[in-house]
Amino acid sequence: MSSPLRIAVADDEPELRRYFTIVLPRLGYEVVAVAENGRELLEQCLVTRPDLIITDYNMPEMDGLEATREIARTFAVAVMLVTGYDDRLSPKAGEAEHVHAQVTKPFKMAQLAASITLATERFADQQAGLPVGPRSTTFPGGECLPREFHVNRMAKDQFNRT
Amino acid sequence: MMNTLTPPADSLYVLLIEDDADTQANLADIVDLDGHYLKAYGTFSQAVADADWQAVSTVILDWKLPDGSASEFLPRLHKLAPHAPVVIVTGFPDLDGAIEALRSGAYDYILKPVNADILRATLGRIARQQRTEAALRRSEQQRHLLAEAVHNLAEGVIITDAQLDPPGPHILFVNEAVTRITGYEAEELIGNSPRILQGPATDGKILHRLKETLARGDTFTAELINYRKGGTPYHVEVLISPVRNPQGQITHYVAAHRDITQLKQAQEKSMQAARLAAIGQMVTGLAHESRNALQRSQACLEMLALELGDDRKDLLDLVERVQRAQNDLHRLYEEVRDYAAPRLLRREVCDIAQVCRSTWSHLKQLYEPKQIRLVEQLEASSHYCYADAFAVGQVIRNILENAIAASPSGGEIRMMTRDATLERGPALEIIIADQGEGIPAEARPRVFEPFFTTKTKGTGLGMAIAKRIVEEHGGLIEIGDTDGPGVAFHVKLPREEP
Repeated sequence: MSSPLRIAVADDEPELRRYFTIVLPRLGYEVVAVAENGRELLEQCLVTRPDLIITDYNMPEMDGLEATREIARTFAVAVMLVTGYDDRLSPKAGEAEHVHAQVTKPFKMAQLAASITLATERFADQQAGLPVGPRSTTFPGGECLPREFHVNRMAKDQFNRT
Repeated sequence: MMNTLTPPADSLYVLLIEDDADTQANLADIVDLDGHYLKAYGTFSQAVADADWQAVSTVILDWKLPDGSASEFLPRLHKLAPHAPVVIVTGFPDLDGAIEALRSGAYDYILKPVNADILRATLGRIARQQRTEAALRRSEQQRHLLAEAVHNLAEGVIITDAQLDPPGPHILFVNEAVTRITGYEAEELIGNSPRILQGPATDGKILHRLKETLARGDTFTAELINYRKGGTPYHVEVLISPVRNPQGQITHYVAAHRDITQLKQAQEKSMQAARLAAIGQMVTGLAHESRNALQRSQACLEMLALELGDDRKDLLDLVERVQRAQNDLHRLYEEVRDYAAPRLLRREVCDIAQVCRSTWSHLKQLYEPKQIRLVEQLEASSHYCYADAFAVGQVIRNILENAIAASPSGGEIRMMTRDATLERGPALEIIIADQGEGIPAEARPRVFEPFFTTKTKGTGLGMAIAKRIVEEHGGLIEIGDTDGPGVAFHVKLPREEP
């Protein structure tokens, strides 16, 4: 009904750039910018003003985290970070305020779709001043699990039999 | 006369009890000739009151004294100075009495008038005898001291004869530590050769060198693997030295044994940890690089599948196969990394029951086709632990995956919890039991080794990772029996922060 989500992508791997341009339209999204590094991403985004940025973290010239931080200073945008790092070992990148979802390589189309939804929902919550829901993480072997799976601080447990 | 109370070596402190002044003077002169110290009294009661009985080394006692006779005084003297021999001085008419005195414990008697040579000979004999006794006493004390010291040494001490060729050398002595280290009683070792402690892993080359070194008369030192009674091997550091007689001939060997098994284990553990850390770094790098490559491959596969479309089912089947191979490869990389890479535990208070349920629900694809049910028996007083829930989830997941794979269709997996304790405090125990065919007893210790697997699928790292995670939490994972043929995994997690 509404116009499709406008997405900017950045990856230094040509296969991934091609992948995004083929797959994202099939998922119903519009690709408005394709960049090879952070600097290109920054330049293109300032012109195209996408709704969502999907960017690789590790890129030449300017990394994805820095580029999106710059962009987020100019206008509000949902950000999804793609990393080769395990977020259990290097958690810092994915926990940046302006990052709404993180996906660890290698991901599949289904995870990509789920992460896009998560990023846009969390972004919307953030914009509306609502409490922002949990992040996601990927399990080795494929499926996407909500982060709440491993962060559970519930004070009372319905199964607790004390 | 000497006027010091401490007589020189070999001289005696002679106490003379004699009422006749002439005899007293005569005896004093004789005693003085050999440098003995003399103290004279006229009556027994004076002597009792005045003499330094501790110092007295010999008593010369007149047979007849104004206040009594020697036969009465002898028993009292034995009490006053038990170490001092008593020489009776007597006139010929009292000889019978003197002989009786000898029977009741006098050392000797001398007839009056006193012959100087005889008295000197008697005192000389006493002096020599006392010197020998003192030397014996000292040597006995020293022997006792050495024996006690050797006996209580933390190191094992084995003394053998010098016969190096079989059936020798024969063990003549072992101290307490040897029985503690080897598990043998001293009686079991004595008479045997130290070969009784050797076994298949004892290095024959070292033993050869040992024999050569000892035959040359040199001291030998080495680390060996020996065996306790019952066959458990232990690492021992031995130092063997020859013992020579005054002529310089080797008569014995003395061996010090130090059990260094724990030291060795600690060394191996730290080496293993260092090795794992190095492998961990390498594997982390490898896994990271592989992720980028896998991602490119994944992207291309998905694009290829989209290009092919549904009308090329034959080719899509190939794509699907490549995809599965890639999934396996990916999983292998991740698991190797999980096992070998340093893990940063993010511990917080978390609900383990929730973790278990959540993990089970994510395994739907595995348990649904086999119609396997989960039966919960959560009996612990609380399910909160200070743990990394994600990592614990991985442990539970790995155990459950195995349990599902092992279970027959329609079977059930029981998940139980109860309160438990670990060495350092209270713990939560999670037990997951399946109805599979079980794991043979001999294979059980190997279940937690990397790349051990009884399944045709899987990397064989699941349980090794589980063990690593549990141990990093300070917990314990074990495998046990169930009521039926299956196995039960027991995981104990400490409740508190370490």
